[in-house]
Amino acid sequence: MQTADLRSANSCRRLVEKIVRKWGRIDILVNNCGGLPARGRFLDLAEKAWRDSFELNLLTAVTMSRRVIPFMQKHGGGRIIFVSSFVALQPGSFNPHYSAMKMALLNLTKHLSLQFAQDNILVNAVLPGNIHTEGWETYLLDKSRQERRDLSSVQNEEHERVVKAVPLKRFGRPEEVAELIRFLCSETGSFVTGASLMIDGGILKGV
Amino acid sequence: MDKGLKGKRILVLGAANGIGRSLALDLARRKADLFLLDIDKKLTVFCQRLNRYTRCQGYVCDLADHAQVADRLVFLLAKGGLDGIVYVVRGRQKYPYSDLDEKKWKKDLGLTVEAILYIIQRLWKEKKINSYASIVLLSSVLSQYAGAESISYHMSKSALESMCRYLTVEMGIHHIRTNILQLGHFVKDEFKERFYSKENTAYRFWLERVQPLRRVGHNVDAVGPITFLLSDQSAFMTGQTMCVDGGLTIQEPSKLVRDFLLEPRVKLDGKK
Repeated sequence: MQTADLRSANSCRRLVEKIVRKWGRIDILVNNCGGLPARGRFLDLAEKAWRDSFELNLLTAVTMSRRVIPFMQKHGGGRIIFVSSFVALQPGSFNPHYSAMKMALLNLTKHLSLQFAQDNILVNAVLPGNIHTEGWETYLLDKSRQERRDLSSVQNEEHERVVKAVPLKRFGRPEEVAELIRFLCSETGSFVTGASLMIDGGILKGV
Repeated sequence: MDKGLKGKRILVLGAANGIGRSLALDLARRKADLFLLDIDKKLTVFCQRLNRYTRCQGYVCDLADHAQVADRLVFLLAKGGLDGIVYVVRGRQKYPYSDLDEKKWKKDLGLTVEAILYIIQRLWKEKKINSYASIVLLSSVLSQYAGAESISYHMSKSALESMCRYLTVEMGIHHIRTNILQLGHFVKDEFKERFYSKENTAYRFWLERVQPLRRVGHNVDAVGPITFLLSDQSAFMTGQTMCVDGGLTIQEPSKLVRDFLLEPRVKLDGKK
């Protein structure tokens, strides 16, 4: 395991060099780096918030892919997975700087999948919906603090609000997203490239 | 071996040939309990072979008579419901719009959409589809496009995809998932020898040149994604289209036209 700040190009370069020095090759790159440095509606978000979101959600994926692809080409192929979000296709009323970058990731997926298919590098994106992560817990905690309300009542209210829109009537689990990524990286997914796969319990009917 | 499908009761409609046959074989090796349907009588012999691996019941039938098929399935499933349904059946007629008539239309639409629509409805009403079951419907990238022929095929695949959305919403509350597998250019295993024969080289080169992965799909390329969608590994995926086309449809039309028409000397490895 290595730690690095992927917003720095030098840091990405050093990370990839370190891995290749140790293992000789990189077969799979999962670009899961992302997040919300600032939250808000469109008019609340200054240019800095957009730039930060661009650097964190998109540029990190671009830089890492640029560093890793030459090694994949050299070793006969590989798999790249971008972790986008269902808000890429259906943004809400908050955080447009986040959903726009996640949409850009989908375009990048298609571009790279086409450009590097001949090198046997398969590029796909996964779009998780509401997944019960630490980020969700943090959001609930922040909300209860801001609104000075009991955490459990915020939890119940938010859980009900979110789950109401999900046909499977539940949150997703992080390991379910991991299983989808594992499938895309496995031999069984060897004819899937350029795809954007939603894992959202049916919120957005992708067909 | 994926233990996740062991003992799961799975119905495959269209299992005597092609992708359905390869899927049934794979599921049998994973020890799933199988219910197989097909109009082709060789299904009977195939089921006998699969019984070496697992419990397998076959039923030779014509899905045009979907009410009778549903009756029979309800009877076969007396001891318990299904954990998975895979629909591989489709109409196969080829003709342009100008030659379309009511008979052809009804046949294609009936086989591709109506049959499975009513069979699933009946099985659901009779409580023969278990909670947490997974339904996988095979469609085609052609559902998104217009072509020179097979109008009823293209339209009925679009209708199948629309049906998937409704099943997702209505059955989701019972934790039943429905997903679509949208296939690109596939050459089934039984036609592989002919496809890769020397006489077919020119056509194969021409066809493979437009595929980003420089190859067409084969049965195994569909079987893996189907088993993934049937398994609990995809338990939060529903209402989705998984496009398995080797990247064919992400290309812009002008590139496709250029590859088809303007650069005939590009070889399979992409080098001129």
